[in-house]
Amino acid sequence: MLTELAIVTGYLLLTLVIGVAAFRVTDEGAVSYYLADRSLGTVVLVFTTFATLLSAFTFFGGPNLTFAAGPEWILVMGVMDGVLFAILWYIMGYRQWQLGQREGYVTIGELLGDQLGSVTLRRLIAAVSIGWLFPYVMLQQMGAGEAIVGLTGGGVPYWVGAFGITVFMIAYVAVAGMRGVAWTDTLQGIVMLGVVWVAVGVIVHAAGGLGALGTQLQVERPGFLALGGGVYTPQWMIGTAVTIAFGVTMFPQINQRFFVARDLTTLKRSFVIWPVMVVLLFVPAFMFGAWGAALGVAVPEGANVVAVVLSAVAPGWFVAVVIAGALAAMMSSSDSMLLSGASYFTRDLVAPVRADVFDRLDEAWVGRLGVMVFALAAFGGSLLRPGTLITIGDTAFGGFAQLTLPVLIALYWRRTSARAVIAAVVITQVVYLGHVFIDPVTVGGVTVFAATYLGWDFALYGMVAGALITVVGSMADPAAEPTDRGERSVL
Amino acid sequence: MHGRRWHRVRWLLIGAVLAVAAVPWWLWQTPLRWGPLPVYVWYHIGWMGLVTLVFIRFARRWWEPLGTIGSTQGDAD
Repeated sequence: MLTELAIVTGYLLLTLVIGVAAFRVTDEGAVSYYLADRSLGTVVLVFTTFATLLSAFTFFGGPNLTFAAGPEWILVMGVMDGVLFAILWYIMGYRQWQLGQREGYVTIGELLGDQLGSVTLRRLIAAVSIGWLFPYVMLQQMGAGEAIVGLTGGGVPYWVGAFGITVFMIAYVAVAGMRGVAWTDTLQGIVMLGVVWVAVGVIVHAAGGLGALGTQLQVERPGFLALGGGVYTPQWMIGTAVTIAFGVTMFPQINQRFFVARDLTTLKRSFVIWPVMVVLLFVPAFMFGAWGAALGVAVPEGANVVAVVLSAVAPGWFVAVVIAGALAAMMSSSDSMLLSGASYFTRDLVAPVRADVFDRLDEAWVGRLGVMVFALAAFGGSLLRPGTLITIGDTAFGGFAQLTLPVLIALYWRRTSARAVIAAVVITQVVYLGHVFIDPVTVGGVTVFAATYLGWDFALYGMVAGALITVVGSMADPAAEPTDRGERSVL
Repeated sequence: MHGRRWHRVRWLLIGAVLAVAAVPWWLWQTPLRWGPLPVYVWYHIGWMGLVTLVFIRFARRWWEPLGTIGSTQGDAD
């Protein structure tokens, strides 16, 4: 237990050192604190975005799924991150980056509010985003607390683990802002990549080579070799890939990264690298679960596949290293969420209300305070574990995906009306939440509030509805003539 | 203007093909293995390689005309 604790603690201290180093080059002001002065180069931008995308869910949930149902999850996540997200990186990210460079925007709410001339829209986007983000941060803290309990065999209680992780994150996020987050993300991303490939080496060695592993897969899990089957229907695979890809682009911590590229070359290189990163990380991480099943390791119901399989084939200290890698995944997601959540809160919700007070303060310090409040509140939530918040966190991707198409239309179509976007956001959010919380009811032969319609996830219908409301509403809105927005608009 | 619109349509189609064919639907329920991986995972690795090459070409040659602000309508600056 001491070795394990030492590995994890040493790792946490290293991230803190990096955070302090980043603080030393961070200037005063919001753009420096939230966006690292829009100065990130390709390597750091790719790693920080990728590490932010990967949460505890990817690291533990992915192998759990492939262990039980087969490696098709590799394709789902591959299409999602390697193709769809990359394309959105161009369509949405490049547009946002250009506008951010030109107009100095820090959040998407600020961009939309300014471009469409509506403070209400700005606040709405921020409020909805924080509403989905907060429970998601809470879930990450719960995961971290549980990982530490598992690692120490209960020696360190849950609340101490979750609190420790929270304090560490506050320390380096509050101190260093985006630059510290991006630098530690780069370390965390490299740790994750390294750990995943070593874990694959360990399992291949235990099986007696690649060929033997393949034969064993064929004998033990013949169903895994055929594409599809079980949970993997075409509708499920497509629906999951689409909602996650569109959802992550509106996750504040990902969306804000669209603003931080140093130059166009950085943006282009990052775009090209997505499919490569996907293969390097997802194929080994998710095959690990499928191979674990082929090795015939017994995993108790509800247990963590990665931990159980590794414990069967590798020494205890290596399991600790892998858990540290998973903690890295959680922290690199949570730290970015804290930072972007704080920026949405201070800039889009508080500042427009109390501009008189706000203007006299250094925004970076208000942001640091925001990070602290956000993190501690989420920690409180992770102790109480309200069922409602857990459900919201679990369905956050679909919730964010409801925002994406109206925002995308507003980014490109000059005629978009703020009122139409507001209507689209409010209606789709209400309908989506209805589907999350209300059990299916059959009214006159038609089932409403169902999880799927004709096999397709309800989130997809909401996305289409949001786009339609935005377009039809804008055409019907007499106030939305493009000329009315005057010279401020560059869209 | 005409040429730009054509390129736009062409890249949209290419993007759609890259996304749709990223899953080898024609191998549905066909059990095939090569070495340690199912064949569809090998296909995925190869396809991501192809996607990278297409993305490189796109980033080098067509990035700007598709997305520059002001290229479609009046620029405020």
